[in-house]
Amino acid sequence: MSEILSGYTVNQAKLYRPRVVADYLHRQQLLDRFEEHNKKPLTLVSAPAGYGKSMLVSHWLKTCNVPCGWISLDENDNDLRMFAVYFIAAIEGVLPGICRKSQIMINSQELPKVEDLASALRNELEQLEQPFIMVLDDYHLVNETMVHDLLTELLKHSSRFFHLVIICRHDPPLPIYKLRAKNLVTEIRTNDLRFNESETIELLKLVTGKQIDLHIAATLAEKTEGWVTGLCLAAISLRLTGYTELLSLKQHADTQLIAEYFFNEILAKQPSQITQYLLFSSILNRFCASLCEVVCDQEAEVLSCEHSGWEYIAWLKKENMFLIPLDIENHWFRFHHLFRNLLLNQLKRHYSTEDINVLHARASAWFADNGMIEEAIRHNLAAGDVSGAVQLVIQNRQAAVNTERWFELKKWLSLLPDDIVQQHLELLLAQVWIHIYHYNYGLIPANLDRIEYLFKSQPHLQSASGEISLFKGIAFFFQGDCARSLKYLEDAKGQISEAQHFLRAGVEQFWGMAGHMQGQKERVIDELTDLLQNQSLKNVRKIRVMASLVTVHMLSGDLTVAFSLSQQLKNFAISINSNYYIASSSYILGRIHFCRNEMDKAIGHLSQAAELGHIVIRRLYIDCLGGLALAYQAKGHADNATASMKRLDKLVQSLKNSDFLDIAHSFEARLSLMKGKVPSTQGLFSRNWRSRTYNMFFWLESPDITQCRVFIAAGSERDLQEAENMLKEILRLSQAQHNTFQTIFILPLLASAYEKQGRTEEALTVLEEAVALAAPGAFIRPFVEAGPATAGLLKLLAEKNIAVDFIGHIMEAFSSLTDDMSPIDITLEGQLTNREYDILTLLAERLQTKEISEKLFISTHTVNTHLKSLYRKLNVNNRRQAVARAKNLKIL
Amino acid sequence: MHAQLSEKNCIFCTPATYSILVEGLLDESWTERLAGLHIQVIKRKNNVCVTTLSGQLTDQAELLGVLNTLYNLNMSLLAIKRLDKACK
Repeated sequence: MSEILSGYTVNQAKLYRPRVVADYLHRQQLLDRFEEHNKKPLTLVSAPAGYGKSMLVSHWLKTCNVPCGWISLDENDNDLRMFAVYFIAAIEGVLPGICRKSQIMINSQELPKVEDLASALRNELEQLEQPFIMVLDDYHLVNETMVHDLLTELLKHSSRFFHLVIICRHDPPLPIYKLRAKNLVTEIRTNDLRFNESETIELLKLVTGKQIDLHIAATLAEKTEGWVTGLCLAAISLRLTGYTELLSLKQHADTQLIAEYFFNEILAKQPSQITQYLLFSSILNRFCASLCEVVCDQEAEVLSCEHSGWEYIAWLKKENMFLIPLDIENHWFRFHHLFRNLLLNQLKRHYSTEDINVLHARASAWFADNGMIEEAIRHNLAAGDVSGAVQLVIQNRQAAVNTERWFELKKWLSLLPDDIVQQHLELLLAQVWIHIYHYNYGLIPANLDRIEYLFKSQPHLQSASGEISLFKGIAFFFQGDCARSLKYLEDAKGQISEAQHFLRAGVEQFWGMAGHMQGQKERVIDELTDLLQNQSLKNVRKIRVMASLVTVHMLSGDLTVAFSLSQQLKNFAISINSNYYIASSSYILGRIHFCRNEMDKAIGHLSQAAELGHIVIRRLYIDCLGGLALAYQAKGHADNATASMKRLDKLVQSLKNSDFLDIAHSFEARLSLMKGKVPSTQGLFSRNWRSRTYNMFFWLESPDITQCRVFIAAGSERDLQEAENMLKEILRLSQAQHNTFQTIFILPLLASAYEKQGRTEEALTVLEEAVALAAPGAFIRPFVEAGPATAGLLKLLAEKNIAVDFIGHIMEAFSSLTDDMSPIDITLEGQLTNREYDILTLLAERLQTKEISEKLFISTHTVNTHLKSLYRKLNVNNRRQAVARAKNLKIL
Repeated sequence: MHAQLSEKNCIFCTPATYSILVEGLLDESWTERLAGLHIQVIKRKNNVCVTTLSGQLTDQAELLGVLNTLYNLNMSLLAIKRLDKACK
């Protein structure tokens, strides 16, 4: 797909529909059965091997002229993602652009849920405007429940134009019987596929090219019981031997034995070199001419000639030896499964295991030389040569990482036994790369212990030290230990060469952030900017360097530069088709608008990021959905806010991660606060905030900060004290990490906590600091969200002539706050006093504090005291809310 | 139309009623995955559960599909019986 997400290489051979052989017998009766495809969503072709299932379906597709996709499944498809990759590739190959959304879903680092994937696919298939037939051949090889679930879901509400054909040797665990009851499935089974007598005669005539004695035909039909492979073996044998003494058939009553009997007849008639070729090539799942030469021909030097591989294949074709072409170019072939099994049996009977291992070793060498590492590994393992397989992975892993062939690397590793992987430093390093590719940074530390242990005992692997430093740097970065992170990343920078693009990209991405957080902002920016000037920088590196620069500017609160860089990042991501960075840059743009209280624009960008939510790291997706809820609420669109929260809840429920659950709860609490409700301070989060240091980054939601918001809103002496302690601790952490971004959110809250404790002077000092930090980036939201008390404090600052213009902007945001209280669940916290009632009436007339004090002959201070008590009783945060709620409660 | 079928092949590719006995407990919701067979759980004296699956299957390919699903569920097969004797 894109350069970044190109992990899945689709083996086109698997999508190739087997072509109908020249001497294929036309079976009109069966073809007619398929014609119901436009009324029924499924055709099931279920029968044992060798009944001609695939050929029949292929023949039908050839005659019916409907666009179709074909997947020849194998054991590798026992993986929902791989299966879906092929399923979608088969559709996209014929009708491009149909499955765009589901394609994005399967490219995400974590697999979407089956129901989500099925519903995305279903929606897309419903858009089809013409019939499309999808054939899944050899479906019996699939035993992954999730794949069955996917198909079950698809069949539940089938689209009008989508028709599925399943070919299998035994029935799949799909609700076939339900479809049968509703007459929604065409079934073609063993009994339908058997050849009757007249068909047998036709077939024998076709294969042998001669008129066949009716008596012989009848005998064969009876003996093979209409089993087409048996008939073909018989026909070939007849062609080679003339009329077999049919008497000998009588002794072989069993169908399977008949097949073997004819097979042996055929083999016995071949020259020895051909026999050897046939037997040796049976170890191959697929073969081409030059591979056959290498595997089969090494000892037969006398007979061998330059083109023997081609000659062999030409002979197989001519003799119709159960050869199945795998591609249009006629380059790759395989044997019919049954024929191959018969050959393998013979091979094992006549050759020792050692001999056969030699064949596998030759095949492995050929595949390795031709860059087909997976098959090379498989043959090594088949020959019992585990260390050879390990060496192959070790030799090829760097190239795979640098060219981003992740899926292949992952596949290679999965072929090796786990205890073997654990014993090899380089294999473990490869595993960590896969974690990094999937953004599973949390899994790195667990691997690092073992890696370091192995590294100490294998000093000859010095070349690995760069990678190890990088991994340590990343691990410490996420633990919030930037000093150590930076140290290791600097080491890695010195050790990893420029040629290793992906490794360098990883270093630079984290080095920029860690460097900034260690107070080296200027140096980091200079160096990263210089790097971008380098024209020959690979895209994979360039985009990460850009992202790193954006992050550094975000963390330092420099929203203006961060904004323009994010736009550049987004444009570049679009140009190289990297959905991951399109989503990330949209998130950052949304995040910046949110900080500036520009909620419409924030909603636009965050929605765009959430659309691609499945492919980015989960934490970011969660932030997008929660951020949307907050932004909608700020706009007064409570319904949309609720809908976004529901999406978020659904997501975190499916993730089953307590940290993510905390973040969702935290978003919910923050949303309640915006609605003027104070959530309980008890048991809000599962974790103790004091328990660890961590990287605060510039996430929209930080449970610790929200916890403080709740304490402040609750407002008891103890709550306020708790909030103050906690805020000071978080502030210390964020300042230590040079995280000006979060500092700007923390300071106004601290000011608010001071103010509520009556410590206005301290509040003003803190708020002044916040204003100074926030002004260059024009942060508005941190002040607005810190509550109405902040507005009063800001006024006092402005009166002191501090940042008058900027404070003016913030005040505008305060005055445009919408009333968004929910009319439900309103109860009065206590009876209003007469004085409070008077003040409330005057508030409704939109009088200011000073005017109220004059009207009621009391001081402004007293008015404020009454107001505070009034707000508490009405459970609101400002005048307009108080009036609205009072009206709601029919007090006014 | 077809050549005369031997008795063996008659079972092979024509419908028949089967009863399959497996060790352990199988939820009724599995019937959808198991060709619609009727699922009944029997509790034996020693508190060991066995499950019977019974019903008609179209041919041996469908039967094998059921057995394969049971195998993938890690269920041990105790017995399998064809209930109707003569084939049609």
